[in-house]
Amino acid sequence: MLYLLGVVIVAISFGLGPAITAAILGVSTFDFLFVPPHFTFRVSDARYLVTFAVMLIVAVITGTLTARLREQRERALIRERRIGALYRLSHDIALQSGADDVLATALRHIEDVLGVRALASVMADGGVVQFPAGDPSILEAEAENEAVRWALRSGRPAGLATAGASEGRVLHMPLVVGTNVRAVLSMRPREPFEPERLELVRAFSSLIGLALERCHLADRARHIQAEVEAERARNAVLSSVSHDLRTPLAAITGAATTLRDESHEIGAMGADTRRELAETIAEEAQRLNRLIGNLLDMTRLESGTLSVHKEWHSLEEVVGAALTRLGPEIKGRTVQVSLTEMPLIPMDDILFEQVVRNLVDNAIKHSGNDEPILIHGRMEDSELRLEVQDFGRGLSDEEEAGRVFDKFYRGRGASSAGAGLGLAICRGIVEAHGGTIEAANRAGGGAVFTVHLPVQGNPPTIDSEAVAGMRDSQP
Amino acid sequence: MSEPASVPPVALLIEDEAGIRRFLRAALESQGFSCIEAPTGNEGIAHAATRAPEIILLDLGLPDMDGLAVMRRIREWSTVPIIVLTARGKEREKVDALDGGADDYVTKPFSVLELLARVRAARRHRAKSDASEGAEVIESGSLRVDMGRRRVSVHGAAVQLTPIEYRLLATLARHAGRVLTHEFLLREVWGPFSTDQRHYLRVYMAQLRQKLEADPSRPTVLMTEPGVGYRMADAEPA
Repeated sequence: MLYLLGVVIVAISFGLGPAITAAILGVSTFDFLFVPPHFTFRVSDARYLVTFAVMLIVAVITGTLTARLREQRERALIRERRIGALYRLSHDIALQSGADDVLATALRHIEDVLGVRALASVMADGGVVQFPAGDPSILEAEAENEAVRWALRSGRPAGLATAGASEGRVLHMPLVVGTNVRAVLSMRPREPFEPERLELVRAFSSLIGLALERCHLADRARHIQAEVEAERARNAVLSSVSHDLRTPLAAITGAATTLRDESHEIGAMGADTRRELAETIAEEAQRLNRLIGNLLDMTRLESGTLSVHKEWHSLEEVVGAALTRLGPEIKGRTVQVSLTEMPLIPMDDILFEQVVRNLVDNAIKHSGNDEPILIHGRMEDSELRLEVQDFGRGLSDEEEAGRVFDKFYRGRGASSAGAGLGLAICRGIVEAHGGTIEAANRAGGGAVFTVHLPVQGNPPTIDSEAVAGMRDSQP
Repeated sequence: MSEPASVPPVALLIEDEAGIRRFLRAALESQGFSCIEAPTGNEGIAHAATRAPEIILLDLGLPDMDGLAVMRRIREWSTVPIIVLTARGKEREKVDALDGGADDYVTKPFSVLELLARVRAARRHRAKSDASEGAEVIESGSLRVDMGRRRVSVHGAAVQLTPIEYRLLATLARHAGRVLTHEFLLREVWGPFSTDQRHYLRVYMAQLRQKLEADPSRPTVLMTEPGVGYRMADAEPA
């Protein structure tokens, strides 16, 4: 009995081979010590041979069974570890949203679990192989590079312990979903993979492949969503622009045809009516002209063909030109200008005149006829701060303060006033000057738009005596 | 500036768009002109040579040749006032036209009133440069410039100007109603070596406005043409 226990213990601890050795050793010892003649291996009684045989057979069977048990337990352990590793991998890569993040996370797992150096390769557009994650130095041999390409193209494993290419010391495992090769994982182990680890590599690979597929599909869905939204925005712009173009055209056509057809019944229309119709034509044509100008400016700004010619300018002059150009719109409105101690400022006068004009125009549109508009400029910390304030309704909230500079954005109650381009053009021009523009509400009601324009360098000075003398000497 | 009714002054319209020619003709005929229309540059040059127009309206965008080239050809033999019709945003073209001999420009779309004011100013200037540039008094709004006695007053009150300020103002006043380019003004006031010093102009224009305008940021006499130059508002009611 003691003998059998010994064999079982050996089988549990060391496996089948040692257990059989232990059984033979045990039988021999029994023969040597307890079977007469003692202390020899000779056996005098033939019955002992049967005993030996039975003992040996029992010991081998017990040993075999025990050893198999042990093996099964070990396999179960390995399986459990593998399942654990797979679970942790799938958990971690599920948290990643981009394909590159998935690959980086997966590589960390593979390096930890398998004890290898690893690299992920993908085929980018135009057949270029890129390495989004891992250690590219494992491909130091040109043959490995070739193997990666082959694996990416064929979707079959290459390198170490595979049929594809037997020479390398690196295993290239393609991540295949359906017919698409999403990536190739290259692994460089310290010793060749045994089947167990190869199994694990395969399991990892299919898991990572699925995660990559998920990322790819999510990307595609996002892309399609963005396209749908861009298309919707384009359609909105188109219908808004065509509406803005047609409205003045309809008014012009109506007024002009009325004037034309009236001539058949002379005197049916009073001079006042005729004048009013002509006025309508002139105003609507102006509106059309402004809209087309704005559309062209916006296009130039967006295509980046707008060039800024900076010179040293007097802001007062630029503001004056803007107010003069606004002429008819500004009639009857109070515009207060205060530009204290303003030096010459580097700007493109034509473009900046437009910024001022659009800002004042915007203030006119969004405040009442009896409410004043303030233009206030000052130098602060080597930047120009130009404010245009109105006393109208102001901006509804923070969100609107940000959106007013978006193109085609129209404030409340301004549906017929314009196409929503004026402020977008302002922002474009100010930014082309290296400045910023912002909108906020005034403390006492109304809105204030502030332009910040950096002023670099010192304005040129004029030695008036010397300049004057130069010409005075030649009358 | 009234002409004898029997011989109406001739205006030459060099413009390829029939619609524009039609309304220009209507506007100019209402002012007592007789109009000749030329839809191409070559026809325009031919008419300018044979019909002795007193004013030419020249579109810069012609189908057969560059409008500026048409102007240069006409300028080879004629000093007839030329007003060019240009498009918005082409400040460089305007400056080139003015420096190349045009008297003034209007930007499409323009109002008839604006055009007629330019025509009047250009013709007046031509008439004046034929006569002597002597003791003349120029008025624009509340401003009065007595060129003979070098005196400037606003609302009757005398204003002291520095020599440069006066020279700048006098140059603008001599060409009242016409746009003068930066380069022209710099050459006239500071001499031929200062034509790239545009900031001189900006500083002195600001000083002049301080002294002469009720509200310098909303000028009524010393007008800015962004990207092109300056213009003293026409003395005549527009």
